[in-house]
Amino acid sequence: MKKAVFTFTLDEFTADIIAKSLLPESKRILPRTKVEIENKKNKLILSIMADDVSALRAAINSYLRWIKTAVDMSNVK
Amino acid sequence: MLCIGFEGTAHTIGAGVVDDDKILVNESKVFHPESGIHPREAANFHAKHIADVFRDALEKAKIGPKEIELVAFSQGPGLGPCLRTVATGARALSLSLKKPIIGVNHCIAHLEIGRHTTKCKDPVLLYVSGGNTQVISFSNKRYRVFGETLDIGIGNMLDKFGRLLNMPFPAGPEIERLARKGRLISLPYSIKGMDVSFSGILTAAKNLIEQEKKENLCYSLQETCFAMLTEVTERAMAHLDKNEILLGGGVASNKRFQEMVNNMATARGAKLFVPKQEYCVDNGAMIALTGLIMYKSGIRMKIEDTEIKQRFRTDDVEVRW
Repeated sequence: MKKAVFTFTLDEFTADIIAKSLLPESKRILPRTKVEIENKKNKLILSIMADDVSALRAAINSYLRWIKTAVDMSNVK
Repeated sequence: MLCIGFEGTAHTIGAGVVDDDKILVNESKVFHPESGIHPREAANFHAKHIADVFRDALEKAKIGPKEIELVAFSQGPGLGPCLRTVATGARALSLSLKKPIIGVNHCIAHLEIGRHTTKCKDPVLLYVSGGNTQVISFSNKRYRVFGETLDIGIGNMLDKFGRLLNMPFPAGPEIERLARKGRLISLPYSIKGMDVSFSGILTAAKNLIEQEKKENLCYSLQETCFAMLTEVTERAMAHLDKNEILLGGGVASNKRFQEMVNNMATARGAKLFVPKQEYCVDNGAMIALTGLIMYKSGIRMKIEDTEIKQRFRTDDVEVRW
C-alpha cells in the first residue's frame, strides 16, 4: 500500500469550501485507491492510499487539480 | 435574476452570464490539442483557465461576483476529468458566494439556447458535435432522443479522418473547404432503424486514402453522412408531426450541411433555424440560460446532488418548464 498525505494551511472559511467542493468526488469509488479529506479548522488534510504508484500518482494529480480550481474560484473578487 | 453558467464537457471552458432572458456575456477558451483530446490534458487546461474565463465574464458583464444569484454548470455528458474539474470550481464558487447551484444537461442546454436565440417554439433538434450526434425533440414531459449515433459522434469522425490527412483540429472547416472541389464516390450508407453509425464509413474512407483524391473523399464523407442525418431527422419530423428544425453543435456551422437540411425542410413545408456560431458550439451562456430556466421551474440541488454524470442521457431530465 502506497500513501501520500498533503496538508494545506488555509483560512477556516476557504478550508471548509474546499472540503465541501470535493465531497461529491471523494465519495466516488476509485479502483485501487482510497481518499480521505479532513477539515481541521484552518487545515485541510488530503490522504490518498493506493495499491500501486500509478494509481497514487493519478489520484494525486486529480485532487491537486481540483483543489487548485476550487481555491482559484473562491478567490475571484 | 443573474446566473453564471460554466461549460466544461470537452475542449471548451466557457462562462456565460444571463440576466433573466437576456444574455449578457459568453466568454470561452478552447483547448487545441495536437491530435485528439486527451481528457486529462483538457482538464488541466480547464483548471488553468476557469478562473480567468470567470473574471473576463464578470468584467464584460460589468458585475461583481457578489451580484451573481445562481451558479450553473455542465453536469454531463462529457469527459470525466473535465466535468469533475469544472463541477468542483462551480461548487467552490457557489459555496463562497453562498448562492444556489444547479447542474445542467449539456445536450438540453444546446436545445434551450437554440430555442431562445432563434425564437423557434417546438423544434426537432439535430445536434451534431464531436462527442454527440442526436435527433432530439420534446414529447411527454421529456426531451427524447429519436435517433443517435451508435458509435462515434459525427464531429469525432471528421476529426479522426482529418488527422489521417494531417489537418489541424478541428478538421471540419478544412474538410468543408476541400469538399467544394470533390466528386462523389461510394461509401457505406449506414442507417440502422432511426440510428446512424459512422465508424464503418471512416474505415472505408481511410482505406481509400492512397487511391482517391482527398477532395473526393472529403466531399463523399460529407454527402454520405449529412444525407444519413437528414434522413433520420425527416423521419423524426414525420413521426412527431413537427415543422421546425433546429441545428446545434459545432458541425452545424457547415454550410453544405445546412443546405441539405434546409432542402429537406423546404420540401416538407418546415422551417430551419440555425443559431449564431457562438451558440452552436459549446458555450457557457447555454448552461447559464438552461440553469436559470430550471431554477425558475422550481428545481433545486444541494452540493451533494451535484456529482457529475459522464453518461447523462437527454431523456433522464424531467422537463418541468
